[in-house]
Amino acid sequence: MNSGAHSTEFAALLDRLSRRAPLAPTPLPDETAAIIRQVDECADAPREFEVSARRAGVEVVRLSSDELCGVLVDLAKSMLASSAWISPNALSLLEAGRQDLANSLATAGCTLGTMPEDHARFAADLGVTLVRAAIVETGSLLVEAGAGEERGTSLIPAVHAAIVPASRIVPDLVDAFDLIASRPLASALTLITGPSKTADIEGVLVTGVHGPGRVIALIVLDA
Amino acid sequence: MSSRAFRQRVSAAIADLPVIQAVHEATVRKVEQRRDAMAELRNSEELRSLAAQIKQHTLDHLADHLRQFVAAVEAAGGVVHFAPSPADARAVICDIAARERCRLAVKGKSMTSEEIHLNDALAAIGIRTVETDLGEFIVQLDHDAPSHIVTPIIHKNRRQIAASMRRELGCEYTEDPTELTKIARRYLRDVFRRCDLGITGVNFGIAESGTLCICTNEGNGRMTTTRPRVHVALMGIEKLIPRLADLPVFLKLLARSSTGQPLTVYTTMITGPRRGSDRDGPQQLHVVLLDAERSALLGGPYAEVLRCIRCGACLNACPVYRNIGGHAYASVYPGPIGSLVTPLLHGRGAHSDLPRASSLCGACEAACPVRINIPELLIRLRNDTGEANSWSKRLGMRVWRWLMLSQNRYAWAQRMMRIAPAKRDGDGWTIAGRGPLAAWTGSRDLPPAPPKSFRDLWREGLRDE
Repeated sequence: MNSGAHSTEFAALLDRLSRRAPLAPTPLPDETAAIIRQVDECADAPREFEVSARRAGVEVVRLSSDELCGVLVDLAKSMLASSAWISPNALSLLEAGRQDLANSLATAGCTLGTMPEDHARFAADLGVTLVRAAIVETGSLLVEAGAGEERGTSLIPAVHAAIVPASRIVPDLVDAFDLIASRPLASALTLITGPSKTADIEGVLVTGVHGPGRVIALIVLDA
Repeated sequence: MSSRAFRQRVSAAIADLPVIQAVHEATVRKVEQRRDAMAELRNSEELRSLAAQIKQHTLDHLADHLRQFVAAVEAAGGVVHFAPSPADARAVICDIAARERCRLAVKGKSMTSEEIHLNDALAAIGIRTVETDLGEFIVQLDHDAPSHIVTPIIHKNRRQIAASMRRELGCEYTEDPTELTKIARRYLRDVFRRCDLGITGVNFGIAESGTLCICTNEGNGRMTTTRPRVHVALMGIEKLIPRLADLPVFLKLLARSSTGQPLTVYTTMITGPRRGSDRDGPQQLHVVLLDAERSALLGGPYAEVLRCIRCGACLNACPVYRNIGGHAYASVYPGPIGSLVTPLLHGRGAHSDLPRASSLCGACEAACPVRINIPELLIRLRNDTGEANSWSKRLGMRVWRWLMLSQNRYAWAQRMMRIAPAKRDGDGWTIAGRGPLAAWTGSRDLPPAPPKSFRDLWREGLRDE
């Protein structure tokens, strides 16, 4: 069966649709950003992002870049993580080298993977990513797949720690989409707004269905 | 579906009190959550108008946008298929699955896949399909059908769910929603490790970039587009929007209308399969464009139903849905929008009663994020598809008209009402009229006539007060 988008059936559909187009078609509105925008600008973006992220169920830590390594090790310790999956992008932001971090984690009984094999992806307790942007309006994190970042790092482990450089915090969803459009689209972009959740059973809220049940935003104030 | 079958289903649904109570509580809660979430927006009315306009524009120029979308998906490395009918869509997807030697399919939540009854078709060629949205997973365990397009098991309580999970998965019996979710998570993790085919719906297809936007709360949409080596996205041809910059309009409305969230937890935007520098994600992306009678609606009086973004707000707002639940509609799409879409897409004759399952109160239109004029379209569809009225109804209406046109006849009728024999319920409402009245009260309540009419009270001195 020829089912492709270049089949005669599809050509016939397009032809039928063109013939049936209304005489006075609805125009596409331009300059819509002003209507869509809810948050104009932020006097203190990290603080305002913290408020909305917490509202979405995200834990927030504010820190400086030299504290990042220690905070991650402490986190791994506190959750008794045996395996951390840290994306190459996130690692590039750490002042400590890969070996230093691996050593520190090892003292906490945790192994470090940056590009794990498949079985290790499911064994990881903690996933660490570097976000492309963070949005004040909704408390969302924008993660992008591509060189240095996998789709699974922010999805498969039970805890997701997202490194948010303060300079990447934008006011509105509209601004995030401007950023997205500013360079070629990655194969997968995801807006993450809180921990994975469901209310399918009697409307009772349960977190951690398929994605992480805990999401932690590490806002790096000097990055 | 005959009128009689529909009425029997409605009567059975109303009689199932625990289910109706659960549906009622859940829908009332969602209406409140929606109201609060919309109130957070500076200009929700303006946003709704904008969303309606963008969708209507897309439909009015659908051929252009489809052409652009196909070119963009192909440029990103995806393959586009066209399915004129549900049977074609099943054949296309089975063909892909067989050619790629897939054995285990995972499905993200997709109403369109329900519409084409995909799982049975895949099973027939030896492919097991596992639903991964928690609600749909439980529906699948029970061989049941979803009763709400957003919350599929709105009609089930935790005891029923606990019993099903124990029966089908052999786990410990627990009624705790957190524990039940954990059990499902563990079971589905194993499935996600081994699956080789991922099937999703599409919330929005971006014409200019070929991007597929998929919104979920649990992460089933992400897992399904991350783990398998082949991803098949099934979408109706009406799901397009023109530009990436239009997406925030719909994102700001979709989750608010649906569950009262500002955004769903995960908003995933997929453009093509995995690239050279990606280390995970499917190696193949197939987009299946489904027509299934949609194109026949374009350019006609019902075209605006295709603006629907399947948020479910009209179901929650509808007093009829709240009182009969989703299964009574016997259709993939229940509620007010389902009462339009089902007869329009799946045959008017068979579903001619659905447009009558509405009190035309307008709550659906007021809740619709893309301003579909549901009540007006329901009336139009009633006129277009209804069987001719029966002789008894025509006679009844004639008598009614005759009574209403004279003051004396009206007053006489009121006196008759007071002495007419009728069975009353606890509140004094007539629940079963006798004789010709029975046809009317079969599905409606009739309030009893008060002991004295307004005219009587007026004569007795109300005038002087």
